[in-house]
Amino acid sequence: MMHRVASRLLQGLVAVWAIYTVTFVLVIVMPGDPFETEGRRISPAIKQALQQRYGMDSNWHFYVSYMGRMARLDFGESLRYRDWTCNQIIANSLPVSVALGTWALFVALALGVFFGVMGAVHRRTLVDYATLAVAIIGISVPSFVIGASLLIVFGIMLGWAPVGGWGTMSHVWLPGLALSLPFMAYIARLTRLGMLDVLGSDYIRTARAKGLPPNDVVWKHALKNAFLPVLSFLGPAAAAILTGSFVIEKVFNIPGLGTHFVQSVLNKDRMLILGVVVVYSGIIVLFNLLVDIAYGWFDPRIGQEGT
Amino acid sequence: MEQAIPYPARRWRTFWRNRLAVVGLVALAVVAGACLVALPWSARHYNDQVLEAARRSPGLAPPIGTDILGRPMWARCLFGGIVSLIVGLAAATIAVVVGVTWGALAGMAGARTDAVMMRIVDILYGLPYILLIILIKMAFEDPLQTALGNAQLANVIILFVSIGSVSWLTMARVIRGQTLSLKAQPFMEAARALGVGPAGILVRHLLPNLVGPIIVYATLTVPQAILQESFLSFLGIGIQPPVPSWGNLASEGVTAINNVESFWWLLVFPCGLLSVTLLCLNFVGDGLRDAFDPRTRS
Amino acid sequence: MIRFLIPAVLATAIVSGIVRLTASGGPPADFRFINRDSITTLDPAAMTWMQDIRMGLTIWEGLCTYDARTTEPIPGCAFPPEISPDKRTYTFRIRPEARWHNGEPVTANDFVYAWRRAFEPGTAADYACLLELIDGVKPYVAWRLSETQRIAGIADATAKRVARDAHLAEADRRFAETVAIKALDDRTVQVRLIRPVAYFLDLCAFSTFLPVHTKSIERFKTVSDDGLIFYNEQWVKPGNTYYNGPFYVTDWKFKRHVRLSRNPYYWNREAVKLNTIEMIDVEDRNTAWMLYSGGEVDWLSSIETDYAPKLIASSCSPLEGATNKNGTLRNDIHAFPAFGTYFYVFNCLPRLPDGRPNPFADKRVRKAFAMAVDKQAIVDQVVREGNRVAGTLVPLGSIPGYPEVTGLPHDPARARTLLAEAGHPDGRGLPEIVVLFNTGFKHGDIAQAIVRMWERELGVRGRVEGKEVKTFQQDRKSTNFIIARGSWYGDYGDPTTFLDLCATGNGNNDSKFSDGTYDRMLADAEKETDPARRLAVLADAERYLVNECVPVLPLYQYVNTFAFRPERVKNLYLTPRMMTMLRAVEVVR
Repeated sequence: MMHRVASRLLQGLVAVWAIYTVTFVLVIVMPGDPFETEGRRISPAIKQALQQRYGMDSNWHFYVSYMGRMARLDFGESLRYRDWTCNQIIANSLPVSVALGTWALFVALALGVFFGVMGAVHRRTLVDYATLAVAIIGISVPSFVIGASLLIVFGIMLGWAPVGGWGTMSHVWLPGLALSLPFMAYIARLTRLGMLDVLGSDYIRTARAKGLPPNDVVWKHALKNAFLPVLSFLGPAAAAILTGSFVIEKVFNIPGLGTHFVQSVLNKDRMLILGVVVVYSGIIVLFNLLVDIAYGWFDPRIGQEGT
Repeated sequence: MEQAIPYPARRWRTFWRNRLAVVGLVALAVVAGACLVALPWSARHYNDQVLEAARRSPGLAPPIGTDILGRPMWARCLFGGIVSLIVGLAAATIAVVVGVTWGALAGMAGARTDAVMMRIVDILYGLPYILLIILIKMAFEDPLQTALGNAQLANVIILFVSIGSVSWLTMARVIRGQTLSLKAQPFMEAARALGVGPAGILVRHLLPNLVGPIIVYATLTVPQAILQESFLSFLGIGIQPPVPSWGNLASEGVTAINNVESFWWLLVFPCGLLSVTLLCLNFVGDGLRDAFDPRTRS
Repeated sequence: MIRFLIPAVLATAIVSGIVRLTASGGPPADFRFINRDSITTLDPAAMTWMQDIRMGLTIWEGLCTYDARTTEPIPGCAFPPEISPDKRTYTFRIRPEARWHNGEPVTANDFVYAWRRAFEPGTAADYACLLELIDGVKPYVAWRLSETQRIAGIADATAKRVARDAHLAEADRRFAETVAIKALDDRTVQVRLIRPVAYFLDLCAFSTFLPVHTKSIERFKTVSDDGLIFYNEQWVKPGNTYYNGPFYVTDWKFKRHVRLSRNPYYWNREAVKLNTIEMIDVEDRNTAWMLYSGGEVDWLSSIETDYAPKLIASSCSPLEGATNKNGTLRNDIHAFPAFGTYFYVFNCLPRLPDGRPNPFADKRVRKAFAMAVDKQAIVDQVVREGNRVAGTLVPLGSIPGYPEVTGLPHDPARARTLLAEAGHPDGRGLPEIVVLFNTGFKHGDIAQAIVRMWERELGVRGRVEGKEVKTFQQDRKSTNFIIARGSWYGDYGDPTTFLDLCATGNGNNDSKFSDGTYDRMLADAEKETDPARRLAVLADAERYLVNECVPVLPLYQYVNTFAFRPERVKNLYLTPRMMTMLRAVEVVR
């Protein structure tokens, strides 16, 4: 087990390095000068001095030196927001996105599984159709429309949530819900399919025949087997939630990391782009590792295989 | 070999029996058909600015109102549909071509090459796709524009190329899995024993059996691509005006959701068409998967 | 169900914990507002955006400051200066009560240091050109640049260091002897200008001329190998420096908020009514409006949404300077003309970026295109904020004593004739006209409407090209466009802040327009000692510029819209120049 974890970690490190390199190449290829400010032109002497200061005078030198900085967890300076270091920017916004994403993932998981199971057990009832409705909205309406609609209904018309911002749980539940909808829809569908499969199997029929309490049959035995595809979806789901959050963050005015994915590229803010990408990939690698471990716990057969 | 009905026909029967999928297919055909039929007119009128007639609500003329520059919404929605569908289909095509090639090669090749190739897929999965899309777009849009001489064409092309280049990963994984399981089948061994070269195996024996999953995942990639274009439009870097797409119409229209003055038709119609199309594509894709995916065959 | 509750509680606890840790914190401030845009920087030397300047003027104060109601320059932390008879030397005496927020007195050296920092090449300040009006600055900067370049060429490290140190010592000596900014004593600043500048006191109030707390910023200074001086930008953060304005910064969270507290040592503290101010950073304009509408902020400083015109039309503002007086539903939306113009810039170089000959090098073509635009339609149907159509660069009536200048009329027939005269009848021979703009606001809509007008009236082919703002700015700077959108807010209360834009070689002259007659007229104006005559000469220059040369196509005058309840928020004035002085604001509960 430990051996597996260690080797996965190592592979993750290699993966993060590869991602860094790919992004680095794309950043260098991107046209435009990171040092041109919005206003007046700067003289070549100053530009050269600035390049030296930020270690960007030669691409190879920049590649290597920035890697070294990252190893010391120093992600450099922002070229656009000169008063802030990348570390400060990331430290400010990452926990916000992680908190929002964790909540959204949790809601997507809890409600998705709930709707999926209910839909499978009580087919063609109100609950099933409610699940269908949620699924429809989740996968077919763009998240900025969902977000804006929820904001105006619950924020302005009903007053049940503050109009965007960040600071208490009341700021989290609405954007979290908006963010979770597409994933909730997908998880509900996966669970429903899985449950329908499992509920028709011999194993469940035996359990019922043995007289086990029906709730246990559904929620303990059937769900455990039907849960595997949901679990394997969690990895990519976490990744997607963390990136997809920029739309929700813009609509709800949440100071998260999502905006920096986009803005840093539009601003040609090289070090911020690289820092954000590496941090993000690191988180995904860690999360996938956790999912791997959980997988092994859910299905003991997998834990015994080699890597 | 128990069934009396031939195998492929049986799978299509399963598909047609899925009511949701059939309804989806019909609705899709209606929407796409309407867009295509209206193309000669919508292409001419989508940029007809009549400033005095701006922001007219739906009524007699024009049928579903005008936008803020007085352009008829019917033309913009229908032409936008063509653009969105092109982006979706083209991105899906790229995803199919790259993904199938990658996955089939990985599956056919030996264990070590396979491991390396799939490891690369795992790595690319870990990249934030939106960042990649923007980076690719920014890096290559200007050179492409100079090469083609037409900015709007370059804009559309770079969009579906960049979306397609991040969408092929799932396809690669699925195809590789399929290839591996097909590789172990007796007919493949027979082909190898008969001396058929690897190219022949690929084209004549492998690909026909992969058609099922390819269609399924291609159909499921199209709605993703269209959605991603709408996010990019929300950021202002999707399809550039005046060319409409459902995505950029929806993101222009989202300001209709406010408590002051609501030009609801600017949002409802494009978003409605977008949602219906996405839904139908998902239903059809699900139906295809139920019918063709070997795993769900009981 | 219990199995479900445990993870639920756990998740809520974790998330809640993180949220609390990252919360903005603090009790609600006396006055909360949303600025025009996110804060880019708080470094006074680097500020160019209005939202940054607004904050800078609140936390620091220069020798002069702006009157809250009229934005005329008034004495700041110095007494009104002695001005020499030739109007070139200004001597300021700093008030004894002027202090930093830790109680230390503001010294003359704080100003000398700050002003030197603003034009030092290492700082790369955008507004360094304003300081070139001071005697000796321009040659000093040129000498510094050439010397550091020479030192950069030295290969041997030791020799380089020696040369650099020698150069730095020489730089200090040169500054003391040739640059005419001196601290005569602890509290006296003397400046000598290269020529009389009518608006110099206005400049002294501007953000580039703000002081810095010398002792604090020295800690953040580094010198490069070549001798350029850099400052680690962290010096601006609260806790690293001190502020001498009516308020000081207590907290600054990136892209979230800036919190200010009343400065107990501000010399005019009796006039300051607020205790705490919070500036909230909101990116999405729709969300910003909803925050104001829900009562969570007291002042929204711009409403750039599609429904702004409806808000303006439905509101009757009781305030002085507001242009919307006819609404009946509310009174809290205040639209007023701003000291800024929206215009289009023509590429005036002989060749286009791709090498083809540039049709707009011929001023008849520029004139034709200018006369073919129905600016009233753009203002009425696209922008819809009650803007005034602009025929000139300098907004009409914005500068007292400046004669009225009329620009080109809307005359498509004359435009067609002119175009034919220039050799392009019915638009023949013209390349595809591309209008460059930065995505956002209504720039795209305006561009599309105008291109349509040109296509209809002149028979040309055109299209629009939207780029994100940084790329757009680069293309503008390097004149990599055919026609680009532009805008300019006046930096100081004099026509030259607009007219200099079209002077040959001006750093902001993106069209690369160059006309000897125009430059001569501007130079003549500077030689005039009588202010009224000077303004008349400048008006002649502008008349010549917008009617004959047409390097730019003025479209409309900006309209700003504030949203605040006038019965609650007092002393928030609708000033065309956006220097909103928060020291006067009062909130009635």
